Amino acid sequence: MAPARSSVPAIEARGLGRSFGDHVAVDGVDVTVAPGEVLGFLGPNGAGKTTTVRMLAGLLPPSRGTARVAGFEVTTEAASVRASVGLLTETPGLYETLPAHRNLRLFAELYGVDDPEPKIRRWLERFGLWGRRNDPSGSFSKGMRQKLAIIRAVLHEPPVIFLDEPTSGLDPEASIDVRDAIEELCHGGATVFLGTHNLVEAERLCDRVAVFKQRILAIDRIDALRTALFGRHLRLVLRAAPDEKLAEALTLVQTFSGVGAVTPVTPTEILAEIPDPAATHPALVAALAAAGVPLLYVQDASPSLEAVYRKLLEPSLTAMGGSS
Amino acid sequence: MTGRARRIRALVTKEAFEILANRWLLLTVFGVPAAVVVLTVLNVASLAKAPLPASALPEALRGSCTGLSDNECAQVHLGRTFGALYLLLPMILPSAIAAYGIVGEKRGRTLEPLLATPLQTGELLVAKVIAAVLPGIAAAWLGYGLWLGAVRVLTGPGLVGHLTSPAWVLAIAVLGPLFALLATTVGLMVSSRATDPRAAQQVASLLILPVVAGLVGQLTGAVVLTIPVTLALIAGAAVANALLLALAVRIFDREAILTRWS
Repeated sequence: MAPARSSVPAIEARGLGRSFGDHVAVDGVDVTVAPGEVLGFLGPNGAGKTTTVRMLAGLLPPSRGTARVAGFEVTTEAASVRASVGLLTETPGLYETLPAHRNLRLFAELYGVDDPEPKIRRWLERFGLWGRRNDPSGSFSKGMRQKLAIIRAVLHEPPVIFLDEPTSGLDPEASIDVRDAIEELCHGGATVFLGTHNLVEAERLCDRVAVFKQRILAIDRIDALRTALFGRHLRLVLRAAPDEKLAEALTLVQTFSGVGAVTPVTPTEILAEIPDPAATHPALVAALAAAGVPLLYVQDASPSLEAVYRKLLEPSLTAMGGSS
Repeated sequence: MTGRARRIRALVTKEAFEILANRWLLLTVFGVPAAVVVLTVLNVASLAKAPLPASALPEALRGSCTGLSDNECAQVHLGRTFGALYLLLPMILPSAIAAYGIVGEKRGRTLEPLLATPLQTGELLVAKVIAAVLPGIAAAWLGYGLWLGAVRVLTGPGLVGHLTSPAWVLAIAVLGPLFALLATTVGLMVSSRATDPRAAQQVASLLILPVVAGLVGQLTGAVVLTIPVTLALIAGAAVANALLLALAVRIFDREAILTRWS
């Protein structure tokens, strides 16, 4: 993989929007993605993720705003953008009567890949499909098809890769398989724009996430979003302890420098808000141990990405009439 | 080779592999010409056994048979009429392939990855046209050659000489492929807007009607394919092809295809 290592952003969009008739699908996206960064683009179905990906990949002209991808403007240099990015569409879209190898060969030639055979072999071997290269892609399992589609998207070694719902519709085993494959891509140094509503995937793969519904509601590192929305919490669990030990621990934690609000949750459990865990955790744990507090374990009790996601999308979820 | 030529070649190769992998399409591509060859050969064979009276020929044609016996004249006339089927063949086969061309990609959800490549709309359509037209033209020419061979074996070299007049050779070699291009481009235009390959094929097949009218004219003696007539038809077909291809590129709506078919 040949990432675009430079100070120029791999993706830069300003006020990017798209309407279909009266319907506003995407409304003013502002985003900058650094070369080599993996950005998760999270949002529910119908949020406009695919439309955004299509605009950024040079497939769909925006109704308003501008974007540059891999150094090219998406409206006036759409063909150059398409040549410089890899796109994994939501459905694999393989030629099912053709062998896997022929599918890849076609796209290698369309992208102008020089000497494609060694590259095709390397990728097929890497994703465990070399032995099935001459089988029609229609005979592949869903996971295998998706992996083949991923290879098709990266065979020309694009500096920017768009993955649109890569594990959508896959069973858990195939999802894990495909996620492993994507993880390999992410470590390869390319800029990856991952459109997904799979939060596990985002948490595992992304440097930053953007929560999106028509527009970007929030964009940051997952940790930063958690802290911004909920604060940082440490869960201290004590062995079945006499009440005075819990009271002693409570007092110690409450008065400890760098600790915010402290709440006893159960007779053996304390929840403490800690804005700067890296600076506070070690010292706090050491102080508790020194005081003879019978600590069973200490756990980061920050809310899950799902909680962050739900909180950010709360107004729209409420508007949809449910929180399921 | 330029990037453009390389992309067109890649897509034509893909189309060829897809046609080869589709047994039903193969049957259409090679079954129909085979049936036409058999039919036309049987016709000439029956004519060789049971000569037609001169009165069976239209007056207009009898005048063009100078130096030929009534039966030879009838053979030339019917031979040319059946030979016109080889002008129709390149239209029928490619239109079937072309009608499936874009609709098939839409239904297989393969069009978005294709449109995501640097491939331009014109390149996509040219590749589709080439891939659809070549098997039809090859099958028609092969069938025509086989038919002429059979005519020679059954009736001797005289009739073949009349059936391969310069006007006819020009028509089969140039006019047939141009007709094929017309039918294919129309098939692709409809295919890019339609949701069902059958609809696309039916609309494209309407183009056959003028050629069928010409065939009827040939049968009645109202139309005689001379060099000037053939050249005029070639010029008209070439202009129509250029205009239609430009129109096809213009009406190919990437956006509608992407948003409606994904």
